[in-house]
Amino acid sequence: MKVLKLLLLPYMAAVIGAAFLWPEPAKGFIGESSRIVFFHVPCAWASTLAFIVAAVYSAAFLWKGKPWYDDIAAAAVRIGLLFGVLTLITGSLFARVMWGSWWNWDPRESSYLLLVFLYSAYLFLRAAVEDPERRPRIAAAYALFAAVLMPFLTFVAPRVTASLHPQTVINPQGKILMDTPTRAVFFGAMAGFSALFFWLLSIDARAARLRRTGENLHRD
Amino acid sequence: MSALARAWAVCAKDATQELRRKVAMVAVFFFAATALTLVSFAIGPFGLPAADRPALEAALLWIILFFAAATGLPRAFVAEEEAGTGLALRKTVPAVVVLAGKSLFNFVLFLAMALITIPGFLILLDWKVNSPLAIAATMLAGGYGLAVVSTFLSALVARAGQRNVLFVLIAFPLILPLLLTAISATIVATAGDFPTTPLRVLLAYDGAATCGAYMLAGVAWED
Amino acid sequence: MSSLGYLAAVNVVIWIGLFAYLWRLDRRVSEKERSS
Repeated sequence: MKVLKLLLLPYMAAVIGAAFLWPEPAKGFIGESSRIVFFHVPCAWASTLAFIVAAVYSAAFLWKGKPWYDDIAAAAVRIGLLFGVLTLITGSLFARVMWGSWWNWDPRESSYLLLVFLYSAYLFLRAAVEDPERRPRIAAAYALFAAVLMPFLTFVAPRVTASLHPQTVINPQGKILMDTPTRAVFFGAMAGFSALFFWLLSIDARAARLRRTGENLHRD
Repeated sequence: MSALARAWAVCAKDATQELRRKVAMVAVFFFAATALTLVSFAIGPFGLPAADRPALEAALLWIILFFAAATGLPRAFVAEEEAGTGLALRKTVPAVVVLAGKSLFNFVLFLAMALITIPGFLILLDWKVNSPLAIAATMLAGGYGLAVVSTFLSALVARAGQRNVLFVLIAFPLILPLLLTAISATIVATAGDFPTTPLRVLLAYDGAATCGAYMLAGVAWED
Repeated sequence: MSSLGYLAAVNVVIWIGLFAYLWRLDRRVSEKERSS
């Protein structure tokens, strides 16, 4: 595991370097701005991954009762919030370059704003429940309830209305419309950011576990 | 007693309590009336272009209804805690039944609020509705979802700190898709068409919310 | 400096800084785990 973490830096360096040097900027974009896809989309993916992890581990916690599962779920939401905010920032920068304004109420960007609100609400809820026995259960109930309603957030928002958002990676034709260098760097970045997500998750969850067990020792 | 009958009993108990004390209900209706008057004063005199009005009025209507609901609906469980009856209820009645009963009460409360706010809109803002049936359908479908989600979340926050702010914060991300769809449906209804697609989405949302609340009721409202 | 060169420089600083920070955090958490 340590070796993997050490390797991540040169790997990411290669990916980022490639992001700037290898593929040509895409047609239909202003200047070099299409390169943001190598940062923006992986951040969005990491944020979504966080949601999935949080939902799965919240369910696991309610089912098995192991506090470690709750540590992971809470950590996932925190990291998800971080990547969600980064998604909004990178998206906003791109919007400024392409269309001149920082925010456009495009359904897809709005749905990520909502996701950031959701993560914040979860963390606020955790902070507001003082009883350490009830806190993880209440939080898990909220996370799972949100997971049940999530399809409406992600499908109601990007409705049939015309969207400013560039065509997504997976498009109606079902093919991936990228040339080889772009595709390589893109999937490389996706893998790299995912690895980064899991590393951050691991650190945060382990720290949370230490805090929790430290608390228990103090109470005894 | 069957579960349904017990849920109805919980609803009836809440209704009797609220009707007897009146304070909370009056506060909610006053809130709706105040918001309505404010909105009417703010946009009424301006003579907005006819093309813009449907979207604006639909949005404002649902904003008023949401915030009035956010004021009144969380009381469902908080009142139990304040009266000290929470523990007894938890021990004697299954969580799902309690949640169902209180959702029902909140749904009725929402419809009562809508029955006051909508005529207000019709009169004060000269709101034109070409399909009353569609509006009724939207209120029923939207109100149900709002009631179920609000009741579930009220259970979560019943024994937490910062309850009022907390409720709005945790409700907002989950309710927004419902509000957007309901506003969309309302706009179509005022135009005179029947908003089939938004209503279908609302019904799907209602179904999902009901399933979610049913499965998680025991966790939300427990010892 | 060209805007691309500027962006590249910013990235170098951010990523190296990030990794140094994460590596240190990871090491501290691991130490605490071993001692507790």
